[in-house]
Amino acid sequence: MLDATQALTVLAELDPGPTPRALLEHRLAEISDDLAGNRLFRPGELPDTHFMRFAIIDDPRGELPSMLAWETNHDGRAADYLAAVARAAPSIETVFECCAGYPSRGILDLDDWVAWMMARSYPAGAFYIAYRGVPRSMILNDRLVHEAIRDMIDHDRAVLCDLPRCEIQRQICARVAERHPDLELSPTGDEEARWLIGKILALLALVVVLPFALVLALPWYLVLRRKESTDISTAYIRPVAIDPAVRDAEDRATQNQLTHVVDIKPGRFRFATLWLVLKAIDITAQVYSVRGDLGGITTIHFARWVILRDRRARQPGVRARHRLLFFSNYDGSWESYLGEFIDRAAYGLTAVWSNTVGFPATEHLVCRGARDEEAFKQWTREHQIMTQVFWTGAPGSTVQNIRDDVFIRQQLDRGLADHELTAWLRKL
Amino acid sequence: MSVPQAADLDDIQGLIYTGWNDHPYAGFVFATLGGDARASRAWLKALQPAISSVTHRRAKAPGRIQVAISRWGLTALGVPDDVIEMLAPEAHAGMAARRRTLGDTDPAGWQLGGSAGRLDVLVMVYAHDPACRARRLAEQRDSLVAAGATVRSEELGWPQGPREHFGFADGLSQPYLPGLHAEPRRGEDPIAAGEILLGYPNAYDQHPITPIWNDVDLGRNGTYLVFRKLAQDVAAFWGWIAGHARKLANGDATLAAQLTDLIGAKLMGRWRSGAPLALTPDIDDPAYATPDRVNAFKYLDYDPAGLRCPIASHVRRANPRDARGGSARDSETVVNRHRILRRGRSFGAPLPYETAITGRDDGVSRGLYFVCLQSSIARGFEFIQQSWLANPGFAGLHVEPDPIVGNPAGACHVTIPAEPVRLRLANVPTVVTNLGGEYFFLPSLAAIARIAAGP
Repeated sequence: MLDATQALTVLAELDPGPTPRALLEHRLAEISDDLAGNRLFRPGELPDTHFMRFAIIDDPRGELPSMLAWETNHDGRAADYLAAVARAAPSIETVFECCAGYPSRGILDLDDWVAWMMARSYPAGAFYIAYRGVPRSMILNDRLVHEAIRDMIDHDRAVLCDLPRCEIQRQICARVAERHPDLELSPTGDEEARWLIGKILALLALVVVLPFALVLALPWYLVLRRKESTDISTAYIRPVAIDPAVRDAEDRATQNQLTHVVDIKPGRFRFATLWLVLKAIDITAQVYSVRGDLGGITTIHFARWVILRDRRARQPGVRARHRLLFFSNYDGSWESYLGEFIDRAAYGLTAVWSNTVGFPATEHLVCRGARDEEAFKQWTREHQIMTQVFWTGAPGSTVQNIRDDVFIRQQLDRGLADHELTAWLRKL
Repeated sequence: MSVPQAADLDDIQGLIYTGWNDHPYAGFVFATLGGDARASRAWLKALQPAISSVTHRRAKAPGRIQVAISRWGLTALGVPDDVIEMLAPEAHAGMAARRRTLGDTDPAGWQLGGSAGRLDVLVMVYAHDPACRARRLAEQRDSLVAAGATVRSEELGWPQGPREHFGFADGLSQPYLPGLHAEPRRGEDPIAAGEILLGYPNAYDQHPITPIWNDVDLGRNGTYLVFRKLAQDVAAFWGWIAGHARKLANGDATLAAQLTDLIGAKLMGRWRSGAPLALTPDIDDPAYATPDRVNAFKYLDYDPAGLRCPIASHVRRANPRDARGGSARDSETVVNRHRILRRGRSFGAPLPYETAITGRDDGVSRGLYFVCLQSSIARGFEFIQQSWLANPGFAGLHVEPDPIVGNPAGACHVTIPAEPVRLRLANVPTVVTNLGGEYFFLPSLAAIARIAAGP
C-alpha cells in the first residue's frame, strides 16, 4: 500500500523575532497571488500532488515559536516524494530557507535536505482519503475521458437514442478511443480485495484489544465524567470577530481549505483519550470509509489531525501545551462544511475535539458538544487560522465528480449487465 | 417557551405570519437616516403604533406597515456598537460585503444599496388599492424627510397574483411554524420557531445569539429580513427554451410547443401551474396544483435519478426534500435546518407567454423583490443561495449551477436526465440578475419601542 496517497505534514520552526516571520509571510503572499506564474515557487511543478498548503502557525499567547506548516497529499512514500520534489520543484527552497536551522547547502545536498524535511514531518493522528488508491494521474485522465464522452453524447445524441444500451456503450467507447488515442480507457483492477484484507485485520485487532479495553473502560469512563463536569467551555454571547484575510481565503471555488489549531486540554488523560480516538478514526478511514463517505459526509477530499507536542524543555510550574492541528480539503462553502459536520458527524468530531480547550460542553465523550451548532461554529472560528497558500491538483472537481469520473472510465470498456448499463448511462 | 404565546403575537410583525397577500398593492421605501439620532428616534417612536403585529392583521384601518432596520440604521438611531456586534455576522457585514458568497454582481453598479447609497431603514406598505398605497407611501416619505432622512428609493410592486414573471406559480412551499400559524397544509413541514424567530429554540434546540441592550433582548420576536431586487429577463428565458424545442421537434410546431412547456418545467422543477414534476412528469395537470397536493411529494419515492424532476432544476435545489443524501429521514432533518419564509413581490408588467417564446423583449423592467425571513442568514438564505443553488457541484452535478438564479455570467450547462441518455443543453443565458439589496433586522414592536427610547 506504499504507492497509495500519503499525508505529509512538515512543521518547521521559525527563528524568533518579527523579521523571519515577515519575510516568510511576504514570500507566501507572492506565491499565493499568482500560483502558476510567480517567481518564487509554483506548486504546479510538484509531482503527483493532490492538494498542498502552507500555513503559518503562531501562538496567540506568544509562548511557543511560530512554525511553518506544509501539508501535502501525495502519491508514494514520503522520502521518495521529497526526493522527487527536490528534482522537479527545487524552488520550494525559497519557502523553507526562511525556517530555523535550514541546511546550509540546501537542496543541493539532496540526502541532507530530505533528512532535514523528514525530521520535521509529523505523523497524522488520523488521515482520511475520499478516493483511496486513485493517483492524481488517474484523476486527470478520467476527467478528460468523462468530458470526451459528454461532448460526444451532446453531438450524437439523436443517433445514440435509437440504439440498444449495450450498443450505445460500445459506440461511446469506440468513438472516444478513436478521437482521443492519448487517453487511458482500460478498466483498472478493483480494489475490493485490498479493503477486505484490511477489514479482516482490523476485526482481528479489535478481538485482541477488546478484553483489555473492557477492563479499562469503567475507570476511564468515571474519570471522563468527572472531567466533563468541571471542564470549562467558552460561552459565546457575541459572534467571534473573523480575520478578514481568513474570510477572504475561503468560499473561493469548488474546493476549499480549513486550517485549525487548538490547545489540547492539559494532563495525560485527555492526551491519551485523544490519541485513542484519533487511532480509531484512522483505522476506520483506512479500512471502512474508503468510498468517499466519512460517516455520511461526502464532501471531504482529504482531512487529517496532527498532534503537535510541546517540545520546550520542562520547567517546574509550566504545563506543557500540546496542540491539535486539523487540515481539511473539502467541497463547497465553510457554512455547508460545518453544517455537514454537525448534522452528520457530530459524534466523531465531539469525541476528538472535546479533548481540546474551550470546546462546547460534552457528555459521555460523544454527546452534545458539536451539536451545539452555533457555539461549535463560533469555537471553530475562534481557532481557525489563515492558510497563506492553498493549491489543488484537480481544481473544479468535487469528491463525487472524481469518483464518478473513475467509475465511468472503469466501466467504459467492460461487459455490463442490463441494470449496470442503465446505471452507467445515467452517470454520463 | 419553545413557541410564541398569545401575547407574543401582539409583538411580532405581521409579515412573519403572512405575506399580506390580501393586500395586493405593495410599496417599499428605502432611506438613509439623518445625522441627528434624536430626530430619527422621534420618527421611529411616532411610527411604532402604526406597525402591524400579527394580531393587527384583522384591523379595519386601510393599509399595513412593516419596518426593518439595517445595522447602519441601528447605528444612526444611536444603538451602541457593542450591541450591534451581537447581530448575526452577515447582517453586521451587510449584503454588499457578502458579494462573493452570494455570487453577486459588483455593488458599484447596484440600483439599491451598494454604491447607490446606504440603506438604513426599509418601510414596507401593503394596501388594498393603488390610491391607498400612494397615500401611505407619501406619508412615510414625508415623515422620513421631516426627520432629516434621505429617501433612496421607492419601489412599487406589481399587483400580487399567483404567478411570478416567468409564468410559474410561486411561493408554494413554505415551512410551517407551530404556535404562529394555524394547521399546516399537506406537505408543509413544521420547523422549530427559532429557525425564523429570535428568542426561541432553533432546530438544534439552542437559542441563537441575539442583540441584548441593557438586559433587554432586542432580538426576541424579531428576525432577519433579506431584500433583493432581482431583474428577470423573461424573453431570454423562454426564447432560448423555444429555440431548443424547435430544433428538437424538427419542424413539428405542436411538438415544439409541448417541448417548450416541458423544458421550461424541467429547468424550474415545476409546471407553470405549480404541479410538481415528481407527481405528473409528462403533462401540466392542474389537478396536482391544488393546495392539498402541490406539496405532497418527495423525490426518492418516484424520482431518485431526476428522470422526472432534474437534479439541476431550481425547485429541487432550493428544497431538496428527502433527496439531499443519506436516508430520507436524515435528508429531511438536514434540509429543514435550511428553511426560510418567502415574502417576495413582483415588479413591472408581465410579458405575455406568447411574446416571450418569440424571444423579443419589450424593454420593460420587470422582476422580483425577493424577500425572505430567517433567524440565521448564513444558515438560511446564504446557504440556499451558495451551497444549493449556485453550487456547480450540487448533489454530484458536474459544473452545473442553478439555471435560473445561479448563472450570473451566463453560458452554463444544464442536464435533463432521460433514458437511454440524458439531454444536456449548453449556453443557458442569464435570466436573473441581482440589482441590489440589503440585509435588515426585522425587530419586534417592543424592540422598536426600546430602540426609539434611546440610550
